[in-house]
Amino acid sequence: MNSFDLFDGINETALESLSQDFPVLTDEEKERIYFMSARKYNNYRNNISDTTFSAEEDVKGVERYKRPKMRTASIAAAAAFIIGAGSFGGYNIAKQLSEGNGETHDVNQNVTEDIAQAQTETAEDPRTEEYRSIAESLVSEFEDFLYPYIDEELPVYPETEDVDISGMSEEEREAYAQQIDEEYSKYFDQIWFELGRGDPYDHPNYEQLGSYSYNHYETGMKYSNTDEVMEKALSFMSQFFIEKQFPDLIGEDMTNYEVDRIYDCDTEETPFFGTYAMYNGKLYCNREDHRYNNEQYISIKSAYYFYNRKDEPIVITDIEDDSFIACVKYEFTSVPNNYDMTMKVVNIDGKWIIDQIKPTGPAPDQQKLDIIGKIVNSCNYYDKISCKYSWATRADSELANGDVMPHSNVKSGILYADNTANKEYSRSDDGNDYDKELDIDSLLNNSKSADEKMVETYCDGEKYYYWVNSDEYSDGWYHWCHYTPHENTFCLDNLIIDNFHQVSNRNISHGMTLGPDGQHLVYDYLYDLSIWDITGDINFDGRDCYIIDINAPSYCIDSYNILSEYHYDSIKLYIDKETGIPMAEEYSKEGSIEKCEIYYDIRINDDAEPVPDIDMNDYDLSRFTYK
Amino acid sequence: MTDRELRLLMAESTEKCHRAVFENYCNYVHVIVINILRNCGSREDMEDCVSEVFFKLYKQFDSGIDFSGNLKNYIAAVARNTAIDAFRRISIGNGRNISIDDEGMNELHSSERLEENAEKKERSRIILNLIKQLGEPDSTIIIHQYFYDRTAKEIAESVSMTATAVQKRSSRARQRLKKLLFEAGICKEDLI
Repeated sequence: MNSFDLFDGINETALESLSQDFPVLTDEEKERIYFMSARKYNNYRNNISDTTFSAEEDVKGVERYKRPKMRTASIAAAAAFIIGAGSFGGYNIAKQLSEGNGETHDVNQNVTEDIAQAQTETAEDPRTEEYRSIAESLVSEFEDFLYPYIDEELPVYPETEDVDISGMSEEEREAYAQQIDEEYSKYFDQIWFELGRGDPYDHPNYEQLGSYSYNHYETGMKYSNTDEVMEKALSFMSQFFIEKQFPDLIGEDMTNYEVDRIYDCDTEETPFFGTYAMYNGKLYCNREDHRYNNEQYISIKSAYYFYNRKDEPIVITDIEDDSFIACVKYEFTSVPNNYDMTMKVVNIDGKWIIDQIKPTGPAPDQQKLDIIGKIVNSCNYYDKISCKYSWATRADSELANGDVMPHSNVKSGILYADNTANKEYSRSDDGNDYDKELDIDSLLNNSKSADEKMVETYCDGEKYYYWVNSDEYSDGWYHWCHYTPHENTFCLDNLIIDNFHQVSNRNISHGMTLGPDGQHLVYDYLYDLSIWDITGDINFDGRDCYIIDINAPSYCIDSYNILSEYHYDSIKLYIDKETGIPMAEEYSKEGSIEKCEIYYDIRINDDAEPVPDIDMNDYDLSRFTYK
Repeated sequence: MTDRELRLLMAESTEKCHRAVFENYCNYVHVIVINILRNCGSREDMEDCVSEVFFKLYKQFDSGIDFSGNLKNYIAAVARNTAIDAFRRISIGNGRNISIDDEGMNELHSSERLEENAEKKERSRIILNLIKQLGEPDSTIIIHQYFYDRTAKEIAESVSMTATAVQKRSSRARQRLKKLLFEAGICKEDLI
């Protein structure tokens, strides 16, 4: 619940009612505040006269609270955070700065974003080793809490015989399935709920709002009920931290709800779903499966995920009698560019507990942030553009004798765009053979003219027209679709329209390019500042460019190969220093260049060639053929 | 407490007067202060601010100011202004720029927007009534958790329950409240 929204603008009548009906101050708190006011009054009176009452003695022993350092630094840290984000311009930097599991979490900036602030090295402090040991223990408990099972105690299912069900009648199959279910239910049970709106059989009008799947194992679960879960959680974490790190940890008892079915949220009451919940007196867990670097991780739902702890000692800083900061080194976290787990540990009633956790890392490289900002906002540098392009992809052929004949498919074209129209000519729809070297320089030197106009596209801001010219294999064809731009504007910011008739800034597959697009480079690779470097400068086709080399880990997937989730391990980019346009992209895998894309003869604004006029009378729009 | 009662107490004993005023109005002052500081100040900041409000009141009592029988409104005004000062001080101390356009400050100057205030007043009344409809201890749990920002452990002590039970009840109460708000037509998507 967002308390700010709920109590936003609460008026004084309501405040008075709150104070009367829901007072919160304990006697102890009242006394403390009263004595604070009395002390102030006495000090004031002492300054103006010697006439005081005996409150000075009354307040003896009452200490002025010391504001925790974590809080005072919070908003400054938040400001720094915003400045950093601001460097990215209009880029919705979800992958860069949001929580890693893709959900929007109500992260408490008051406390978590300041951990990296004002950390002072206290290596000489004699308590360092003791506190490091405490931190080790707490991290172990934290990691253990994330995993809901005891592997060695999980049930081992009995071997099942291979039964040929092909000869069974439907009744026999059903009976057999029921028998298998009963056998397995001795060890394991799964229940599910789907939440939706409307009739689930009324596609596409039915709207699925979510689904929850809970598992119960007869053996191997760490806890037997939700009380045990909370008891364990509270044994090493503060309540505040639990709520932030493990949202909805405990769900409602589901016994009174019908399981394994779809609920209509508009008409039916559903349980409050949590990570752990009871059902028929047994504990069920709604676990999460996620992957990092081709490894599968099972855990309970968590605000942050930390992968592969490094074999490095925990760094202890900001040591106080009742608190300290511990920084644990990990290989990766769910927040890119923050590779460490930094946690605030506090002592409450003689017990050390984790009070906050935040993925942290070094301050980002400002030059890199600036380059990303330019790439993402490159369309802001011009209102008109004309340019040529060549995209080549390796498509080796295997000959009859087993030899591999290297060659590539290439697509070349010319595009013109302003904020009212876009026109593109390209040589082919699916690429022509290209038998030259597949690298940036060769591609530039051998780029072919697009004069043949094999494929033409035109967008007038309302409709997107697509023609394929007749050739020896086809009579040519034609189609058009409605153009659905972002925010009802046609402009170069709306880079791409895909073949599903929707504008997307990411999906270029078989779509129309309004202009050179580098946003996918940021989404796919550059958001992780640690995997790329600026390795030099080059003048490419008359424009000064940065050379960027990306060493892409396996979790970086090229979004332009969505269907295959293709991974390139090495990428070279030439980024135009003035506009951020990606002039050249060279993608390699295992030392072999697999894909190469270049833009050249780029002209912007007054230098750009105008979008050619289109006379729609030239085209027979009624016949779906190209005249 | 009337102006006359205050004068009588002052005549009897300054300390007794201060104590009586504090006992009568500390909860009221506290919620006013929390309402303004809860998005920027720590609990210690709020306690400090409440004590500052009473310190200012004590000084006013010394000056013999006439409250004309409207002591509560006067105290509310002092509390509000002191909390606004604290809000500015804490925000500036935290590096946050405050301007007249700042959203938080607009809230503080909302008295000029009568129509909006009327809506907020009605909305506040409905929300509070709906929270009360949850019944005890759920109402107290929700208010303590989301207005006073108390931890489950603290709430547990005040309602004589375990922290686990408080969290469970809170979850359920939240769901019920969400429904009630929705039925009342004032539930935004992101409210709960």
